[in-house]
Amino acid sequence: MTGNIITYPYQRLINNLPLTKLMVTGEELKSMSPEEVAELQKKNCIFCHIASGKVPAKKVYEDEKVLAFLDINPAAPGHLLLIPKEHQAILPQIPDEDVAHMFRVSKKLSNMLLRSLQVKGTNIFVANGAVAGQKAPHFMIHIIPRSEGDGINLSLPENEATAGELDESRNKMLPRIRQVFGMPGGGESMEAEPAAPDEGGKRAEEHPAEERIETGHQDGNKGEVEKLDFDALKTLLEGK
Amino acid sequence: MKCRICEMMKDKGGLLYEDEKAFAFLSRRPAAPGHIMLATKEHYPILENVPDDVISHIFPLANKLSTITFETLGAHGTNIMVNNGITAGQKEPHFMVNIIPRREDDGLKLEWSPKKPPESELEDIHATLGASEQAEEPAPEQANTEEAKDEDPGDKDYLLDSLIRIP
Repeated sequence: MTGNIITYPYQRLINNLPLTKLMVTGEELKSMSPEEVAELQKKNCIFCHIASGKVPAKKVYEDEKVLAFLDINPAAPGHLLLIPKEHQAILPQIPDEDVAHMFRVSKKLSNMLLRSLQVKGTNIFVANGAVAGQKAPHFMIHIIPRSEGDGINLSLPENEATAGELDESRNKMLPRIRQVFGMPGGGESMEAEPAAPDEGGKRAEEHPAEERIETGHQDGNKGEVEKLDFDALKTLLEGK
Repeated sequence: MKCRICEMMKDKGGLLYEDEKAFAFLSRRPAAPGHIMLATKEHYPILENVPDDVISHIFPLANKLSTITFETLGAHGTNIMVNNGITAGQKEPHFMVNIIPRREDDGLKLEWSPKKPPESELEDIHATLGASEQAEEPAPEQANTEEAKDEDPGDKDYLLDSLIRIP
């Protein structure tokens, strides 16, 4: 898999995290650089204080990179929070190897909960961004022990989706997926693309998929096209 | 018994992404528009069965797909979740990661009411987990799978058995 080449300007997500707006006004926030926002969030981050030992927590796992401890406001007894020790606001900021490490640790912790608490299941849950329910400006993975009738609502609703709607979403995503993962039609253009955290929010709301298709479809490792079998994309590209 | 997820992989219709270890497709019964299911190619029923090298592959991948929904679907956030066991909402007997694009006021509620337990309760749990964690320490990765089989077949079998009953 290719490295961390995603350049999505996610600063808006970070700026919108809870608590940030309590510390500075919206105007001040706009004038701050990403580094300044990170510094502000870090200074006031309870999870950084837990990681550094300034604030006590009931730790259950610790290594040089991560720390897991009992949530003091648990969804269920044994609810664990796993955090990177270094201040990272959201998942897209975290390097691949650290993401991999955190989820390997999550699996281990989930196993431990199943065995030692005799629960019947676990949820591994990440909220990325305020609209997804992220409540602190420090990335964390929830590991939640589950029992029947525990009143936790994490079951996913099943909505109707028409074939047309599914195709639409897929067609929007495919060119970018191929680009990011270096598949046929994708390009190294990604890395050359300047990361523009501040303007990017707007760009994402417009039509980034369309915007990027052109860059996406020049060099073709044709052999892989067959193998990958992205029918919709082929149609899309050939139809152009 | 046929696994619907394994069948889907063979079928290849509607795939979003595929490599040697994993594949992704859009849920036909999405929790929110653009709901991606990222599954292992190998049939692993539950999280515990998934080897670490596959875990190390699939979650950075989930992160990238999640970011791509910000870029291409205008999502303002994402939930990434694993439902491990029927009790936790697992619907197919094949391990997968759900990536759910979120938007303001999308009406989706994935929530819990936090309960503030008395300090003594937290201490009890901490003691239970602490004891278990220490017991586990000297036995690193390889030993883990066996340990699970030897020491506590109960939980694991329950998860597997209950999944096998999924129609």
